[in-house]
Amino acid sequence: MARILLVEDNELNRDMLSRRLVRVGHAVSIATDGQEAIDKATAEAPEVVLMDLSLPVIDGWEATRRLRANPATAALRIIALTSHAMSGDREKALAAGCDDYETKPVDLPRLLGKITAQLAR
Amino acid sequence: MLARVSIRTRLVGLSVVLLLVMAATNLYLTGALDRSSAAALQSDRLLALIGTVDDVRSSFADLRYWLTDLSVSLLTQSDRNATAARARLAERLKALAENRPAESAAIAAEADSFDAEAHRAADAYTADQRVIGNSLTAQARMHGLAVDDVLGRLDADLARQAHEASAAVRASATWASRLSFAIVGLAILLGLALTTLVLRSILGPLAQLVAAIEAARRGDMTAMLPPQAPDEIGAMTRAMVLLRESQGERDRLAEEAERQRRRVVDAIESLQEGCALYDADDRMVLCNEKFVQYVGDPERAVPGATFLTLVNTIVERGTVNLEGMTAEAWVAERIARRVHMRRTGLKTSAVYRFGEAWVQVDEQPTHEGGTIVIYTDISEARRRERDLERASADAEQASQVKSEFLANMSHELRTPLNAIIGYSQMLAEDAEDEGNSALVADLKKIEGAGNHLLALINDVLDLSKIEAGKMEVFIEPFDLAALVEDVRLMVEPLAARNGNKLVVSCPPHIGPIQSDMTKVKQALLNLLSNACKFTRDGDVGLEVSRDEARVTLRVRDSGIGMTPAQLGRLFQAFTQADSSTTRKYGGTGLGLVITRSFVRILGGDVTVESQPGVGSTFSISLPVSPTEAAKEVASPVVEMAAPDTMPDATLGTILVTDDDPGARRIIGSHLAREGYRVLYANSGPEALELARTERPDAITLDIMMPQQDGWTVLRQLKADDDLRSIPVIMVSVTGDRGLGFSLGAAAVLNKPVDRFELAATIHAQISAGVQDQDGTILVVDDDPPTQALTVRTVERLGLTAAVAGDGAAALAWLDANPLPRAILLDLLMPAMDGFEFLHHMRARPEWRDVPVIVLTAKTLTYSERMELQAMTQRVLAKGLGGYLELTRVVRSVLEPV
Repeated sequence: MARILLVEDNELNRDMLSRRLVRVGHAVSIATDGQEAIDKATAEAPEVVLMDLSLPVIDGWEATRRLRANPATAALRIIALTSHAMSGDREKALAAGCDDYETKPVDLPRLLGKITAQLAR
Repeated sequence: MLARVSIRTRLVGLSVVLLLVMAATNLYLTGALDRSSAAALQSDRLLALIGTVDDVRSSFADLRYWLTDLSVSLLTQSDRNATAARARLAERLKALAENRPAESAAIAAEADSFDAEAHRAADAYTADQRVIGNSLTAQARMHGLAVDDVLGRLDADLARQAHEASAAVRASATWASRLSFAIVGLAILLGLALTTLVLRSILGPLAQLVAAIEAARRGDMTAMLPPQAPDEIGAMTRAMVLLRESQGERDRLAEEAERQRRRVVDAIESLQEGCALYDADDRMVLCNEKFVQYVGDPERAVPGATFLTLVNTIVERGTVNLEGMTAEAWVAERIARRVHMRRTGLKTSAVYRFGEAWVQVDEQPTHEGGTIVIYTDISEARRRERDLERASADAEQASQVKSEFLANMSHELRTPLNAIIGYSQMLAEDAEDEGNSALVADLKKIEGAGNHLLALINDVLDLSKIEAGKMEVFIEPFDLAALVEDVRLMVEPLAARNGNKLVVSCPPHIGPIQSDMTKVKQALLNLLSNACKFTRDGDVGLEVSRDEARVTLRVRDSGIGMTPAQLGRLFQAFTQADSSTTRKYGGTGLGLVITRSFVRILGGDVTVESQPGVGSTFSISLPVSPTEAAKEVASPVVEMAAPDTMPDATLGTILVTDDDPGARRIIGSHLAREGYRVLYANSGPEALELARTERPDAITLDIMMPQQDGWTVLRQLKADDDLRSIPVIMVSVTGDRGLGFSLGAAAVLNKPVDRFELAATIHAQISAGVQDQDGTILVVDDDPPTQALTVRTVERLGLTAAVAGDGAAALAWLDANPLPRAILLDLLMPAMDGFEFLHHMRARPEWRDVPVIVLTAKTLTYSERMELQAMTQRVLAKGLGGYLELTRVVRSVLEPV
């Protein structure tokens, strides 16, 4: 299916989501902070990046901005994983350059739909 | 009696009577004189007659002599002489005949007889008939004796007559003199009597009147007055009576005035406040004891003392704390304040410290041009206010902490929940794959519980946002019919689950409304899912209707209904009709609270009618657009409304173009509040014309307008060499950024316009190129905790804060430092309060343009609001919400986004 970079610092959620994505056939690689996300995205050129926003080292917004600022990674499809809790997160995510967002807790079928939509662009 | 006629008549009458008496006396005396002269004439005539008698006697004697001589001598000569004597006698007898004809005739006869006898005797003698002669002579002598006898009788008679006449004359003269003496005496007596009478009739009352006037002059109004006769004195008396009455009235009024004054004095004396009244010349008219205490000198604080004297006395006696000012400066400031009040006619208020007490001094002009001054001890109120400010600042902080805690907490709760739901879904899929249906059911329960927990967290978070005023609203136009159809599709399965029939009635052409679609949808879903949840095998209905200004969404069910008591608790958080409901029907108990909050945020409301066992009807009423909502809802309490135009606004002129008067007004009032002068155009052509004549500094342009749409107007503006440089901000519900920018718009904003976005955009356009000042905000506040909170707020915005403890310190700071970017000003401060500071500050041309934001816990009077409106950019209430608002206001005043 697709090569997905999952950026998530929470171990349980990372494990759960990556396993579910693998089960439906995607190839998932993992990053646990913003810096690692930038490194892996640059190195692996994934088709879709699932970007959690509250991340250590560099947060998701900043990581997205840096990816967009780099011509090599500017065209990446980035879906933010936002939390309903933090008001303004979604807007900030889109402003930082994300293509779409998914509210946590993740509704898997909906997320898969969004991934498909991004791949189809 | 005499008083009945006038004094003039009286005097004239008196004169006439006296004159008449004199004339009568004169007349009588003249008559008497006439009569005595007639008597004298009579005696003259008698004397003449006696003369005549003597002549007769002498001529008869002559005759006798010559006749005797003749008879002796017989001489012819004697005869001639006798004839001559005879002629003389005849003549004399003629004269006598005039008066005494009888005697004259008798004498003439005897004389004739004598003559005849004598001549015969002579003849006889001649004839010498002696005896005959002698006899004849004797006969003649007899006749002579007869004549003598007649003459003798005549003499005696005349002498008697003469004597009688003289006696009559004497008697008449004596009578006349006596009578005239009596008459004159009488006249004098009568004159005296009349004069006395008349004078008494005049002088008596006059003296009484004079005495009464004299007494009145001394203030005695009781002296006896003469009777009010119809004469001149009567008139004077009546005047005097009137005078007395008016004096009495005046006394009564004066007494009344004095009573009033005493009442006022008593009234103000009973006040806790110091109170004084000044007249138009700034002299104190009255004051109470408390005021005297504030002045500090009972000798000087007396009626009649001038304002200047009293102010100087206050300083000299040291009752007031000058807060570091010099005495001259303090007095000058006081005078300036009074002058300002007189000039503007507005009440002024300032706070001073008298010893330990904080005293608010209010000065207010009176109708007569004077001043009423009230000294109010506000120490207690001030302490409470400070406590309140501190408390509300604490509450504000606590509320912020709570909000942040809730946000963080829900994030922290959500992360493990995410894992729980995710893993349970995974395991359920695995179990399904393995056909382990018992496990699937349990795993679905875990997932369901997780989802319930999630819903709770979301609702609690929504509530906390609503409470903190942080709920964001995204107003956009959407088709209500489409939304209703969406909702219907989502609710139908819920209705079916309880065997309910869902009936939706919505006119297909109900049209678009402007609101927050997500929130309207959530509210509607909440009500409908509740209706389905509490109804079994019944009807659930949704009716949509609309009028000019509002849409109404009515959700009706035939479910269990509610009692009045249950209705009362309905909109409280975590309360369902009763606690057993939650167990039976599920749900968080927050849905209705959130629903109503959402609808209220959108300018609407939710109402409910219900009967137990019959069903419930929930009605959502919503404005069709924010413009409509703005018409209904007064401007927020926190900020005062500014007039649409401020003539002396120096920030610039903005031309607002919109065909919708409501939208025009909203945008205009936003801009006016920022201090711009606002012009309005309701169509493209009008906007172009105004742009040419008024040269505004910026133009806002609606896109959807009749005649010419905004794009066309924008093209025309940009095609005009003169107008090209005016920045144009497109404001519309159908904003297309790309097209806007490609046509030359400076910015494109979406309706409904966010006030702060609008202000920031306009500011950025107008002040583009204007040098920024240093990033310092001057915070003027005397209360340390409030100061600290304000400073924190400022610093959170990345700005530097400078602090001044009162108006005077702030002025000093302004003198010593470069201009700050804005001033945050408290109103109630010692020494120089906020109002005073503003007056000083706005008087300095170089400081006039520094924006001032007033932060106050004071309840403002109308005149104070007007005053502040003219001198400041914004007035914010301290306390809850005030500091969040402050952040946004400071940002909007300073930052071009």
